[in-house]
Amino acid sequence: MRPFSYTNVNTVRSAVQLVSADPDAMFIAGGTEMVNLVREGQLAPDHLVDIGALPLHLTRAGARGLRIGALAHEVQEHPVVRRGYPVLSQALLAGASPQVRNMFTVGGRPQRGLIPGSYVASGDRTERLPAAGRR
Amino acid sequence: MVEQSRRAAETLSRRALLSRAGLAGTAAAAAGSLPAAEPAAGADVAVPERTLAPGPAQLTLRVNGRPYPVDVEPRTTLLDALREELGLTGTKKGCNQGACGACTVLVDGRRVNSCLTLAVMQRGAEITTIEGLADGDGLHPVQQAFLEHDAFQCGYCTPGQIMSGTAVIAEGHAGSPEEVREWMSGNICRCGAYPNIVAAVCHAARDGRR
Repeated sequence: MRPFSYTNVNTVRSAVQLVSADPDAMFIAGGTEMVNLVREGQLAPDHLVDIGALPLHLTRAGARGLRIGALAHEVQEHPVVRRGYPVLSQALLAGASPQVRNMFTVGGRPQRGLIPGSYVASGDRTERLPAAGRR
Repeated sequence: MVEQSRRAAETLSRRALLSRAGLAGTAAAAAGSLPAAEPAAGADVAVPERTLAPGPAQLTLRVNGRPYPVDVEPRTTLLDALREELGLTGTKKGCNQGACGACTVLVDGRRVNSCLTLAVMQRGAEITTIEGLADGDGLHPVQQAFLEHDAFQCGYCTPGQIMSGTAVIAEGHAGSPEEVREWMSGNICRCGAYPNIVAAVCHAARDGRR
């Protein structure tokens, strides 16, 4: 694998600053996509910013629908998702092995093309942090 | 700690011996020699922000209940750190892309593919490998069940199957053979020992409920 530097961040501010300041920096969260893509040479970041510890993991339902944090884990197990969004729950369950599901974040692997259809079917809307740029 | 270090050294020397004899590979699968893991700890404690340059850096990984100082680069996967740096070669490299499950370990009690995460990302986590399952010479119930059910042929996928099997039981997904098959779907066995693997996991799950 091509060498790169690495920073783990604990605040959204640090994460956005580091990746905004360096065009060759990218985020890594669960790692299930990024590690493979870097290993295979499809992506070649000089710097990886580990956002896995950021507090962006909450899943909750409200009047305007379902809000899923970009770093949410085990969304498919969430009672609200299982009850109200069964297509999303089943797609997440079927889309990856239990080991991969334990690692991936909803903002990463599923959005990268694994199961986009289920997001559309559930009326998904993706919000990005201001100035966060690419994932 | 001295006792643990001695045991780790024995594991390494056995590996070296097997390598010289041309038998390296599967012998470590069913039995381990390191002490059983402590309960998951530190999962919610923030690891201080730190930047690591592309070269080797020293950091600490907690594996099977003890801290290991390791020299790894940011690009080193957890799998390579376990095998190449710590000599814990029970964890196997199969596809190296997260599809086969041979590299399955537990991180804070949850099963993951160790080839899909970087070692630097696991500072502060409690990692359990196949070497951490047995209690001294006493096999873990899932290891024992694999022996009794002849749940392997070549044995290469076996450490991953056993780690996944322990997790399936802990997750409460071992209620029926059908459920075990579904929740073990991240572990591939090219020999096709699936009927015996499923039987072993179901057996261990039943014993655990008694």
